[in-house]
Amino acid sequence: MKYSGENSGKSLSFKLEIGGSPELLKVVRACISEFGLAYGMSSNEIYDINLSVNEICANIMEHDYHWDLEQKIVISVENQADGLEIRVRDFAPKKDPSLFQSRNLEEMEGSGLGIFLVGELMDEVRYNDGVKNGNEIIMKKNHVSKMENEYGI
Amino acid sequence: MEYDVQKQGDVVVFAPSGEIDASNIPELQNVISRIFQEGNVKIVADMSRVSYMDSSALGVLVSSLKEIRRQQGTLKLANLTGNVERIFKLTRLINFFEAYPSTEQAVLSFH
Repeated sequence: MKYSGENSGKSLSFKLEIGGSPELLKVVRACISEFGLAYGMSSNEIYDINLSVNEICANIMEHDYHWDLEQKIVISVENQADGLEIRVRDFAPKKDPSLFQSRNLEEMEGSGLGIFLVGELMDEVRYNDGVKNGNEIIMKKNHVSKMENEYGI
Repeated sequence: MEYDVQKQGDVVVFAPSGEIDASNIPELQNVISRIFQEGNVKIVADMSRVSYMDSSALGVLVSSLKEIRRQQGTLKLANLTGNVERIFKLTRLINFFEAYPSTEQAVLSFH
């Protein structure tokens, strides 16, 4: 696993590179949790982000990489003015972007449940068409003010 | 993931703890299968100590419930709280299971 962090003065970000082992999912969650806590995100928001990243990564590990440790997934997290942006990049064959569009729960089968959860938990989920080799999913979780978090205002 | 298994009369209470994800899902599956294969068809999953679970864990609980129902038994949930409960509600799987606020109530519901 590789880790790199950057503070450009505008926004703080970090990047993780992991292999296709499910054992690494908890490491990813731990990093995101610390990052989210540093920005005052609530435990619910952190849970939502962690579960969403977990679902996308586990999907790649199982269905594209078949748990191959040598395959790479790159997770980039950036704190932006209005929220946290997470990019999950893989190097598997191109996927059908419609897989990541929000669908009804009734239409879901098998691993579709994970993708459904991502759509429900994140404010924005999109497939990056601009990536040549592999796939990239971009997710956004908007910042909720502390007042909103604590008092529901 | 760690777990406790206790027998209360003819009901088996299974209590996993910690985080359940793709790394330990085979373990969850094996424990439930073993309980079931030992002839137990009245099972309660005490979720009070589960701090995190993903869709693979939901999938195992659903497939276990289907299997146990085929043998005229059932798997009931107890102590769903916080984000784990939220995930069950969000996916509407809460409607698929019988869920109780405590293990005692879940066990009593069998009698």
